[in-house]
Amino acid sequence: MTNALGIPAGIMPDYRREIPGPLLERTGKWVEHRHMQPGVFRHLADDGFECISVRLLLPPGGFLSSNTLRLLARWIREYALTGRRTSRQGFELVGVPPSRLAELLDEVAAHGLAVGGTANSLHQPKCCNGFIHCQNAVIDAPSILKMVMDRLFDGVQHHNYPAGLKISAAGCPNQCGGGIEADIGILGVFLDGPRVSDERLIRSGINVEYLRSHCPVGALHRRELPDGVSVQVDLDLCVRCTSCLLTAPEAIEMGVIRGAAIAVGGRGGGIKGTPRLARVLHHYIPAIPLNYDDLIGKIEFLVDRWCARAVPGERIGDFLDRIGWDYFRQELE
Amino acid sequence: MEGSQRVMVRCLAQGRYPSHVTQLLDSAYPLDAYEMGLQANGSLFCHGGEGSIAELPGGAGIRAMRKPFKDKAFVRILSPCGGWLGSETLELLADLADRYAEAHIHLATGGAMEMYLEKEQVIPLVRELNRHGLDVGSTGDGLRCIVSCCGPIRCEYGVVDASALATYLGRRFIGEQQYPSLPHKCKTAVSGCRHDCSRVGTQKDHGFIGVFRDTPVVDRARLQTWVEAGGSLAGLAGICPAAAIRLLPDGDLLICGQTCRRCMRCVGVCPAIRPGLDKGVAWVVGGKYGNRGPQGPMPGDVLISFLPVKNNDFTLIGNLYGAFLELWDTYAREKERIGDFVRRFGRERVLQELRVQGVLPEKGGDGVD
Repeated sequence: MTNALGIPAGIMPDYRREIPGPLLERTGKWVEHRHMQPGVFRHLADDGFECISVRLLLPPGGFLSSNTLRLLARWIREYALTGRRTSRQGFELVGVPPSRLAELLDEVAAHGLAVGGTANSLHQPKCCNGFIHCQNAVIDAPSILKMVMDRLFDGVQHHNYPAGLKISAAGCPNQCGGGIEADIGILGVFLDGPRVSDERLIRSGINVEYLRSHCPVGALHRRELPDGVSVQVDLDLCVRCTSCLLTAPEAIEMGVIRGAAIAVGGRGGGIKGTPRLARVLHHYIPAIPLNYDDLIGKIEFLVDRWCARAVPGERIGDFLDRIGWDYFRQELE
Repeated sequence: MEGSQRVMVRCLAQGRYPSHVTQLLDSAYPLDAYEMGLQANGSLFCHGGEGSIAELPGGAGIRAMRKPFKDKAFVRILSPCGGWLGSETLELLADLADRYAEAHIHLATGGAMEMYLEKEQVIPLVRELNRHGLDVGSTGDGLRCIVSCCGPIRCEYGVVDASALATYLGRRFIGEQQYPSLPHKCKTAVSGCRHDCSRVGTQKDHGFIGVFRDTPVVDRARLQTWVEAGGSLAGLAGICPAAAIRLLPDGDLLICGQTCRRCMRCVGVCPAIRPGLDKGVAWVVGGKYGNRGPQGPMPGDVLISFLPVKNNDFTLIGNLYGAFLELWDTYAREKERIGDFVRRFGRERVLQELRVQGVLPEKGGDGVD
């Protein structure tokens, strides 16, 4: 490829150009932050400079139309120094002058976006593409989270939870949405294992040993047939990870019994102990699109119990550790 | 399909929480496909669309769709580190999404930004992005986009300048981000402190977390103000998991350096306590979310607990980062994520190999712990 710029051009974007001077020159000078109200917090620098940030809750999945991007840009121009996307698909307007805060909040509300999700509240939901763009999705994570958040909406706008609550949803075992690491994670799962079409596998010409090497648990057994070699899946060993399906999509498909699992108690930060993954509390709940009442009911029950009985500062995983997972499972029955 | 027939999509546009459907309605996204997918309880996208764009080794791809919908191309745009997006960049993205793509953007969970468009539009869009200082990358078996938390730019906890370190790594390893040639994907992040907002310990294969080696620093004057404003010293001492905070009779406190775990819980509660001054990063490898590979989802392992950082000089970190990628590339099995590789190969052996290569100083040398 010979052209002026070259493709790929090898450009790593420079974050510095996104940040105006007053913020950049105070790097490392911050002393404390305070929560003013849900979604609004103020950082204080050692020279007395105040930086108010407003956390906007974006729709699940991080989809933004170009008009919304322009709206965010206009709010930054009119009310803030700059903006940043959070690691949970939310957006923060950084550096809002105190005098303009009320005006900005009014305008956000008028445009149907929400402010909230800080400290001891329900945080921005995080999820993958779901059916919107992805071929692997078992469940439609964005619509599930949209309906969960509709029901728990009050939670984003108060600080009355015992601790922060993060809900994530991932549509398939690849876990792009990170349900396995959230306080409450909704995971797309297959109950029955992969089905192999011997005829199509032989016709596709995929090397069977190559295919078998992709199975992490050795559940694919070689199967000699008159017209070629196929594989047989040992369903007792299979962990439903879909690795074989991704290697030979022509010949393997997953079974039809699919739904959601709920995992609880994941945590990313290392402040209170070590990071940990969530444990599965409900291993299978049907999740036919928009018929999510069962799923949402179980999440609501969990949140209610946690709110009623957790000690202040106790995340949902710590709470279940303290009262006992088996004890809590009995309560579910 | 008429708009009025989209029953489920219409239902999702209602409700109190902001809806993704409202955003997609405002764009050129084919919502009929989403409606059909919801009604059939299955995505309308199908396998076999991974074929890439001829001119681009990485950063773009094709997603195949069932008929009557056309296959879609996507580009993955590298985000500025720290997630910082000023008004000009947002307007530029909106403009390009309108002109070349489906008039919407997807903030992906891994940190990149995706646009969906016709295959023919990919190269013109990439050229336009390049003209404005942005680029694509982060697909396939390569280095995925390097992300960070906001770091000390707007956070009092930030021990290292996460955005600066992530941008340094991103510049130095831009080739690996744009030419996928590793055994599997490798997600990288830098977190400024142990709160780990960018999820180095769980989501990312390879990353660095800001840590300090000495004891937290106590600002006596500020402590006085904090106590006068109602802060409880006994409560502060109570939250320390190692019981390292000792209260002195004159209203002062002492943090015992030997028992302190540097967990920063006290720093989070009391603004008079600051992270220590001997700063550096912990090197963490092997986290992953996906239920794939022999280990399934796993949190990462700490490879080196302290690599010193002085005056934002990240050369040693960059050297180690690159050497480790090469080591993994050399010894990994096909499609083996870093987490599975380190568990199989052994953490000690990784360190030994890096020491033999001369990249990693001996324990204690150059301040490495």
